[in-house]
Amino acid sequence: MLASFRQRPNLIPDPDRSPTPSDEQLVQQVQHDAAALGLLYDRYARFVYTTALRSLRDVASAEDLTQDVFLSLQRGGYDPRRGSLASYLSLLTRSRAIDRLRSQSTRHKYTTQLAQQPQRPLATPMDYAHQQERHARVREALDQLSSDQRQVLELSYYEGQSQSEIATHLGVPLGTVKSWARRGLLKLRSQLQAQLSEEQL
Amino acid sequence: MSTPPRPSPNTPPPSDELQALAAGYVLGDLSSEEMADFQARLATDADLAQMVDDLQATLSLLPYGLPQQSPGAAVRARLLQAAQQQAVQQHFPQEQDPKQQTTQLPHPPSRKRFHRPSHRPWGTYAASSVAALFCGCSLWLWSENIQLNIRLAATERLLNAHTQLITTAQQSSLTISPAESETAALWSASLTHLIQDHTAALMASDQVAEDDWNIAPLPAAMPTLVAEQAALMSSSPCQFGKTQGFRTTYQLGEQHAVSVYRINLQGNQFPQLPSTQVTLNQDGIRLLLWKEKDYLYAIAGAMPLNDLQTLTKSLEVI
Repeated sequence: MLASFRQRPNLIPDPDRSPTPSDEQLVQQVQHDAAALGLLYDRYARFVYTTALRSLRDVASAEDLTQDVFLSLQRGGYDPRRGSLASYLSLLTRSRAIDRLRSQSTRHKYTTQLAQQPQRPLATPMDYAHQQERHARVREALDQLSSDQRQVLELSYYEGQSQSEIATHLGVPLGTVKSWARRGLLKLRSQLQAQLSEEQL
Repeated sequence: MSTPPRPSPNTPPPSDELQALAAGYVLGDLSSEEMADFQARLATDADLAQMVDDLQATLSLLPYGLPQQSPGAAVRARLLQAAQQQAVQQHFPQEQDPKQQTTQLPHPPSRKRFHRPSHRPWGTYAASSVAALFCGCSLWLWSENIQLNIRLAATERLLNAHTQLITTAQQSSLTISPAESETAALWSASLTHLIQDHTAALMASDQVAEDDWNIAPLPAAMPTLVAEQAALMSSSPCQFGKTQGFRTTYQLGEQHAVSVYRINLQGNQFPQLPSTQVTLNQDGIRLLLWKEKDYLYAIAGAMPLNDLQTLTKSLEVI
């Protein structure tokens, strides 16, 4: 094991090294290379943090969760064969956030701390452009949903509310909530199908 | 998400009913009966499995629809610190602190802040215990990009090593008195190695002897600079005579780097000095050293002494 550390990639920039390593390449290095973890953080910290903050609605908790999620990469929690890194990070953040909401019973103790913070530049202009493209596509797709469909999906995804809870919350029948959620998800998938097929977002 | 082959373009899409069930499966709203039927079909239908994967991936993209926000700047540094500690625990589990082993997902570590004492009596100096002071260390390097100018400057300083004790009046609080000159000389010779270790830490840490990889058990806690501008460069166990310690090196901005040391005295006696702090200045690299309970602490860097003293306020044991 020690030998593997000694033979790790040099962290000093190497002209022969690809200037924009893929997520998968970085994930493979992350257990031995702080620079790789730093690059992944620069690429996805805002994505993870935004997800965490939307769920937890607390800056300190969201930052704490962001750290935890990236540490999971170092522990080898991500398997590229099972999906994109963005999907993994999103689902893991969501899962952990809901666990925390449930365990801490903070769902009804939200403090609003959603003020915009200074934005940190992403790792490279290419990363930034790529992320902006993703945002634009997803926003366009979400705009195609009805407000009911979108609200139900977001309550379920970010706050872990069951459809029964959502039905009570919104004062509509459970069957209606189920229909909104399913149709909303299928429509979203239809809108994003091309991108899902092309680049496994 | 599994990875079944993509459905053929000629494959007819699943029926509306089946698509609704797939969405319900991903959303977790199927009844137990629906779930059993769907899972049975899923096991044999690659197209359906692919659709489930796509729906799951679609759901995971929802956060891209939110206005993006950034975590505080300190989170990145905290993450890399925690990653460093996690790497240590993963590769040297036998040396872990049992309390830390339970931390599956390190939250911002509960930090024990230590305070420098006003005065600590030092015992009899055991010269032999420090004669072999060396921290050639670099058990592994965990660093961000090291600025080349720092490395170049460090190399130049190493080639032009020259030690002098600070005895000027303006730094009287840190002066070693003449009565202690003999002891101080011994310290000077020994602590010079500490400065050189800091210098070596800024250079190619890959070129270490094989023996250096197995020199010391890891501490349960490491000296850590908790400052926003401090980016972790490397860390390593080190040897101080027969005792063991740990070094962490940080980059401060683009021009400076400091190493912090925590050495377990393990009951060894050290000289009584009139000051609670000892300083050395080796060709521009300053070392500030003091004792706290059973540990010796030091901070080294090519920085003004006042800056090093300020940094000690950010030093925590994690």
